[in-house]
Order: sequence, then structure tokens, then C-alpha cells
Amino acid sequence: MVEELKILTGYCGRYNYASVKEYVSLGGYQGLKKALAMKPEDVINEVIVSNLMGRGGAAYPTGEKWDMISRIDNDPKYIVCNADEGEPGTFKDKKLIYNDPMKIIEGMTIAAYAISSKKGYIYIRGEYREGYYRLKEAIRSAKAAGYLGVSILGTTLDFDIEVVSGAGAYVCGENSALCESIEGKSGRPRLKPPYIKNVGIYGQPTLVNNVETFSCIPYIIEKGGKNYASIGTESSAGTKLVSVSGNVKNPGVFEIPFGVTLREIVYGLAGGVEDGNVLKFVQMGGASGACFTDSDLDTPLDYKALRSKRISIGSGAIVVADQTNCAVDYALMTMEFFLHESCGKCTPCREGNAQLCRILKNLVLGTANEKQVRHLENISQLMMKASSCGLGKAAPTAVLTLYSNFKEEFLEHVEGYCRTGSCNISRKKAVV
Amino acid sequence: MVERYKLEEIVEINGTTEDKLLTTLLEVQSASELNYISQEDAEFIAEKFGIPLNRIYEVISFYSMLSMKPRGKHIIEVCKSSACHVRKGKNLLKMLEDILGIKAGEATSDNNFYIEEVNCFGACDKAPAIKIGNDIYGNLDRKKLTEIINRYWEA
Repeated sequence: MVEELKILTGYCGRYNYASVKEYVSLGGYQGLKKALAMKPEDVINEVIVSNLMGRGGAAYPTGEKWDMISRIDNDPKYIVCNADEGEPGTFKDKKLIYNDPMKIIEGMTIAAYAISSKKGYIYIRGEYREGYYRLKEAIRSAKAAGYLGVSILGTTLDFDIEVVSGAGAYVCGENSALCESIEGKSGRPRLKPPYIKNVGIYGQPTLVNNVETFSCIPYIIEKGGKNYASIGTESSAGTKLVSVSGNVKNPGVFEIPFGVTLREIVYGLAGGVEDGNVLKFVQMGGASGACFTDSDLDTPLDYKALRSKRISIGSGAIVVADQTNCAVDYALMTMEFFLHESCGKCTPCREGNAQLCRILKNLVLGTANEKQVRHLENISQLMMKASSCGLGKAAPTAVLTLYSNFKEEFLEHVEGYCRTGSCNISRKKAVV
Repeated sequence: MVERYKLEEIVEINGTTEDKLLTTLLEVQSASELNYISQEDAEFIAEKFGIPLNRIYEVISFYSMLSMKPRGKHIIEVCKSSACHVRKGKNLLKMLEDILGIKAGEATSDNNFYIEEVNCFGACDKAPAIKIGNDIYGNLDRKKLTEIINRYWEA
């Protein structure tokens, strides 16, 4: 039986989220204290050695990102913690925000020292209103205790953090859209380059990392990058938070070292499929992630191993669907999400989502023909190649992977029949 | 519409730099009786922030949590995303519509409740879930749902 390894979530629920004293008594702020005694470039080097990859979804090497921004000679520089956790099926950052906000603050403060920034933002999704208040309170107490503000712990480091609330827009998880949103505008992704690291908030260099990424930093500095890199696998260092939900007995957030198989996660930690049903497919990484069947479950949680199966870890969301779910209906639900969340700026994404929705809707209404079904692939390919940002590029992933795994089921809908009886079409049939 | 002193207070606490615009809009909206931002309130915010009114409109129409249309005293958000979808969130929505006698996107005649279908709000471990204000309720059946609604009705 696989077990969790809690190097990141170990403090969760063990201290009052706003108490610096309790956080310190558990061992908190050791990372920052150690960092402040090091040279900034050595701090960055530890992060590089740790092999930490960005946990928001893109898996960009964190140390490399820090290194590049530290070399940019342009003040002020901003630090942003992306807490706009919007990928459906993801609730792992919520766990950290609600239960261990001090670690996020500590990680950001270490980053501020490393790249020499004086101002940070935590951009939290509007839906996590309680988290917004908790972060604000935690920041207030960190400031009162001298861990934020002017001359932190008696050093020359000045750093302050503000919390900014989103208001319900998935696309704001994209770095440049997030910067627009912090500036009080509609969150439409910018044309890149210039990249955010050069031209971010108010045109200044900006470091954006995910909540989980920042939360990994205190451990890495305290125990050393080498120690962190020794956990997990060669191609994926450390632990990862996965959010498991859907038709499983024991949904939740689990922290596991890389290398554990997806089967161990779904059947071990999450208790397997509920109600004695059979697993039909798993969607990994959120709405923009791939859907795959039981045959891929023995793949280890590892960036490289999963990539070879064309699966991306993304945010670490794992949604399990049992055999009672209709593959076409699930694809439609996913595309309706993207139709709603597309910012509308570029044509392939705006129109592509609408077209895919139209065809899928026709399928569950029993009015689609085979030609339209073939269009699903063409439109998806076009969106992946021509969309301006990651949203449009990843939007058709679920449709494509569901179609390739359940082609027969899609074609059955053209015949006016749904084997699961859970989408629109079957109800019509049942009445007749 | 929100009372003038309340508007002044929200603006006073948050400040009027542009990074406070979204928070201000959210707070003005929840201070209003029917969870929306009226024309007058939008004009007030535009003036205080020193930005054109059309920018305020643009921002409100872009973000799905903001509305210029009066909604209801309590917004019941029903999640329609993946985890809630596979745990039959559609049935939950039907139950709710049935209990309140309205459809999603409508308010009850006393404006007490407004149903809104929304995307994932991160309560996937309690799917299918609903959100009323800042409170999340999960693993619901008809009995539990009725109890919760009644509690808000009394309040």
C-alpha cells in the first residue's frame, strides 16, 4: 500500500494559519533564516540543484526561471504567487492556502531575496474568498512579527505582499492574463514575447510561480537542493500534490513522491471506484488534460513517463469517471467550459470551441452525422496549432483523447443510441 | 444600489489603485441587496478610481462572478464541472430547480434565491457541490438540500 510523504503538507492543520509563533515552533521560517545568511545566487543555485519544476501545470524549471529574472537589471521587480487555481478537479492549492499560508509567504520571501524584489502579490481566485481573508491575516501577522515589511529579521531585505482577488475567470491562470487582471483589467492574455519575466506587471520584470511551487522552497533551502532532488525519480524531483475526485470512494488531496503509479493513487489512496462500478476513464491535469483508460494506469507519476503516453500532469488533478458516464457528454461538458472561459481574443479558440460544442451537442441530441464527427479532429488540430495562448491549444485535448479511446461510442450517437443512457439522447430513446 | 456611506467605506478601506478594482467591485456587489453592481455604483467606482466608466463595464462583463443584472439575496451556485458532472450534479440542479420552482439563471419571486450554474469552485472532494455565499455544501441528496434551503429561508 502506497503512503503519502508529507514534506510539503506536514504542517497543514497543525497550526493556526495566522500564528507566526506556532508556525515557527513547528520548524517554520528555518528556510528563510538560512537563505538570508546565504548569497542570493547560492539560494538560486540550491533551487536549480533541487530540479524543482513549476507545479502550476507548465513544469518549467523553477531555478532556471529565478536565475533569468535575477540577471535582469530593471527595478522594481515583482513576485506573483499564482493562486488562481481554476483547473476543474483541482483543489490542492486550496489545501495549502487555507491550512499553511505561512509557508507560501516564506517561499515568496526567499524568492524576493534571491531575485531582489520588494513587492509581491498573491493572486487568488474569487471563489476562494475565505482563503483571501486567511492570506491577508497571515500576512498581517508575519509583518507584525518582522518576517515581512522593512528590514526583515534585521537584514537589509524589504519585502511586502498584497493579496489580489480574481473574480471568476479561468484564463487568468495564464501568466500574462494574470498580470492584466492584477492591473485591474479584463484578463486577456498578452501577445508574447515579451515574456512576463521581462515585461510583467506595470511593464516591469515579474516572477510568477504557483502556490505549490513557492511552498516547496522553504524545504529546499533548509534541507538543500540535493536532498530534494533525491526524492522522487530522476526526471521528476520531489513530491507532488494530486487532487483525486470523481467516482472514487475516498476523494482528496494526497502528497506523494514522484514515481508512484496512477493505479496506486486511484486504487490505493483514493480507495478505487465507488459503488462497485468499473473505471471507464481518467482525466488528468484538469479540463485541459488528457482522458485515458485503465491500460495507462500503471504509468508512474513522472513528467517524462507520462509525456511518452501523451499525458501531462498539469495541475495534478485526477478525475475518475466510471462506466455510467457517457464519453460524448463528458466531452461536451468540457468544451462548454472552454467556450465559456475563452477570452475571445483569437479566432481559433473562440470559434473552435463554439464549433466543437455545436457538434458535440448535436451528438447528444442525436442529430449529428458522421461527417461532423470527423470534423471534431480537424477543428481540434487547428485549435492546437493556431490558438494564441495555452487555453486554446489545450482546450480540445479531452475531445481528441475521448474520441480516440471511445470512437465506437461517438459513432453510436450518430446512430441515435447511447450505451450508458446518461446523456440526452438516451432519454429520448427511452420515451420512444 | 448600495448606500453611499457603505460605498465610501469600501473605497476607503481598499484604496483606489487599479490593483484594488476587482476587490472593490466584488465587495460592492456583495454589499448590494441583490448581488449586482448598479449603474450608479459603477459610476461611483469609476469616478473614485479615475477611470472611464466603459472600463468598469468591460471588467464587469469579463469576469463571471460580477453582474450588472440584479440577481437574488442568496446566490446558489451549482457546479457543473468534471467531478460534479460525473457524480451526477445535473440531478442536483434539477432537484434544486424543483424545490425552488425556478430554473438556473432565475430568481424566486421574493428575490430570496437565485440559481446559477458555475464552473469548478474547488469542492471536488465533496461533489456534487453547491455554494451559497461563501459556504460550500457537498455530498447532497434531496433531504439535505431541502434542509439547507430552509435554513436560508428562515435567516
